[in-house]
Amino acid sequence: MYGLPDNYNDNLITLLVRDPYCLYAYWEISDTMKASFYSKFGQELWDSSAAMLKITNVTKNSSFYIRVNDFCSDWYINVQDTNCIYVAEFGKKISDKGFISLIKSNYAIVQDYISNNDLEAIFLDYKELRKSSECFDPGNYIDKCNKGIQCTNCLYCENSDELFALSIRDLNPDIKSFKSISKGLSKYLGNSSHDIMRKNNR
Amino acid sequence: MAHGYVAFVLHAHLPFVRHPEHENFLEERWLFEAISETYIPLISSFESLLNEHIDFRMTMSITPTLLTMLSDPLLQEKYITYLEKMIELTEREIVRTQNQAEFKRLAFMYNQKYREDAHLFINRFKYNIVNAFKRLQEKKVLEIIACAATHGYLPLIDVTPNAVKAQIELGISTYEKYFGCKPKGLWLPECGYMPSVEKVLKDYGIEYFISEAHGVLLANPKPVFGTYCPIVTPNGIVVFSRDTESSRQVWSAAEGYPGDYDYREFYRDIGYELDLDYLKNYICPDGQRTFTGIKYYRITGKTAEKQPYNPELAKNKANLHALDFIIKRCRQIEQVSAKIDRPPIIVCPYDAELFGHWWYEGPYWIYSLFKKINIDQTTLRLTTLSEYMNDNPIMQVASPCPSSWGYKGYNEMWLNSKNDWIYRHLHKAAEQMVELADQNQHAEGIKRDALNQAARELLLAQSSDWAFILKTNTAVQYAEKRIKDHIGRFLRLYHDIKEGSIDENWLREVQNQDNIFPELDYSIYASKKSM
Repeated sequence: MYGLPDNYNDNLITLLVRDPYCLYAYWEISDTMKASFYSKFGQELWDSSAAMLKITNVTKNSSFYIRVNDFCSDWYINVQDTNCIYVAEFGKKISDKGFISLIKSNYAIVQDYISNNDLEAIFLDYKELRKSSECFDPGNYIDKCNKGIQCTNCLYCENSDELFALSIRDLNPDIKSFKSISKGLSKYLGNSSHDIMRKNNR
Repeated sequence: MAHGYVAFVLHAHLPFVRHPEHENFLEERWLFEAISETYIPLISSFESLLNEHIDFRMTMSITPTLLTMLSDPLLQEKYITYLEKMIELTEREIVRTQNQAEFKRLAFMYNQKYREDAHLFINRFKYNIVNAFKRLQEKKVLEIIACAATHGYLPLIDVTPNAVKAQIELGISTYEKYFGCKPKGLWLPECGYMPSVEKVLKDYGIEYFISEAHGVLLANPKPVFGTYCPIVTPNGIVVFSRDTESSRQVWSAAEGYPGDYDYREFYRDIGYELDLDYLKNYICPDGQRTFTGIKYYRITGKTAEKQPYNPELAKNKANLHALDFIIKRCRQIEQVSAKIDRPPIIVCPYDAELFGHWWYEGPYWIYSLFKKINIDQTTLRLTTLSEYMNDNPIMQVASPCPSSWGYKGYNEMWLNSKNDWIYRHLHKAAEQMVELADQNQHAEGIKRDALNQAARELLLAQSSDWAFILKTNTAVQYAEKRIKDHIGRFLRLYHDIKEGSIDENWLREVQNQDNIFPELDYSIYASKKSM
């Protein structure tokens, strides 16, 4: 049987979603990074400071800390808010307000029910929708959140309805007619996303 | 005219298990048992329906790993050996039970069954039952859909998007190789859906997939027709929702049909009850007990005192359960169709191996069900998923919620304290595979072989089956060994390729051992590869 390495001497932290209320993170700190920390701050600070995970809810711009230790390399993280984007950092807490972040994870999207269901149902012929060569990729919108600002066109922000309406129009600007039995759909055609928002009383 | 539709979906999957280095290998029996207990009985049920001019429809996924094993000459030979041993064992059973009439007739039944399997496999299917499924698709009673290459659980390997792309691309190309056409649908392993998979599905021409119920019910916005009509995502991918009620009737350990007292008891198997010396030539020469498939008792009740199995009673019960299923589906359809303006569809996906292997009477129940649907009523009709889409193309646009059909409905089955250790290795290997593909474009000769083999090892390590087995605590040692072997081989190949020191003898050994996907091209991992 082949043996597996204990680690890969990488600097990384990976964040996975277990379910809408629980994340999982695993991480590694390389010998080089530790040596760099020692050189900058001293080994004593490494040894005396607490190893921590900082979990940031990017959508709501809030964060919390979990104390771990230097010997563990993974953790399950309970989160309160769904329909949010999270990111994790591993680092050292040197004081009540001092956290030295060493590595930052990928973004993890936690999704459960969408709280706002006021948006009217839109019905389309799926074959027409498929003709669009564009593809709505949630990943593009996550990158916008990387700037750490409250954005207004992220599916996972509170203004998700706007994005949903936008995505339909943006994907299919040339569709001239819709076959649909949804009441009042025709009023959406040719309207801006702001018009759609107003009609939904947002 | 039917008021609604029922879409039966069977998902046939086994992980790639092939051990040329051993004459007998315990885990290879998973395939042989599935062929005898599930695939051949299902094909026989479908062919009986056709012979009786009963129209029916079914959608089925057959995974690339299963397609490969069913078509592998070594495994086909081993299956024949398995049948020969089972025929011999059942002949000895006929002698052993000669003074016990109730058991003797069952021993005779099993003997006849294995003889029939041998006849069908050799003479009718010519050693390859994939062709039997293909013929059913050509007759348009069966729609076969694709699946990811090695049934990787995509939401947890999406850390490296190229790994997801490779699983899907290879799954589709394998489908095209075996069936000579493009698939319209794709079975997401474990119904594991995440939003980023849509772009990949769209890029490869997939038109639909199936979601667990809450994936659609919790969609954005809320689906007005619940699970009774498919939705279409903003990207144009149609999503069918599993129906909870019909699932419970078949899957539930407490209230599902398979638990009926007249059905065959799975756990009373001679493999655990007879003398090991009597059995060992027929199960595993190393003396490890296992299920043989020869079982003489019915469930009877919540008691350890089981009664002898009675095939006629079981068959009658299966007929009653078929009728019950239809009545309940008709009731669902009548209630729903009165409230919506289009015909509802009830989507019933199950693991294929439930029918015949776990639930012995399952294939007959399907035969009885489809026959009764055709003859005894007009409220509902069977449909394939593509047929329903073509006839009902107007759908509500909504984005599903990430979900799976596993324990607790999300990712926990494949991410928990028993199996979380695998992911740092899977993710690292995927990252390194992309690196190898990017740095070695247009490789040739032995380097190309090594790159392709590295891709194979990664794919085999990614099978969701290993994480599942680790969680369910069944063949844990085997699952652990498989992950470590594949990652271990990958890491060595990675090192050897980077160092320019490929050991050709070792490479050929590994190629022979893990020989899945012979046409695999490692460049499916390249990040610069254009669509």
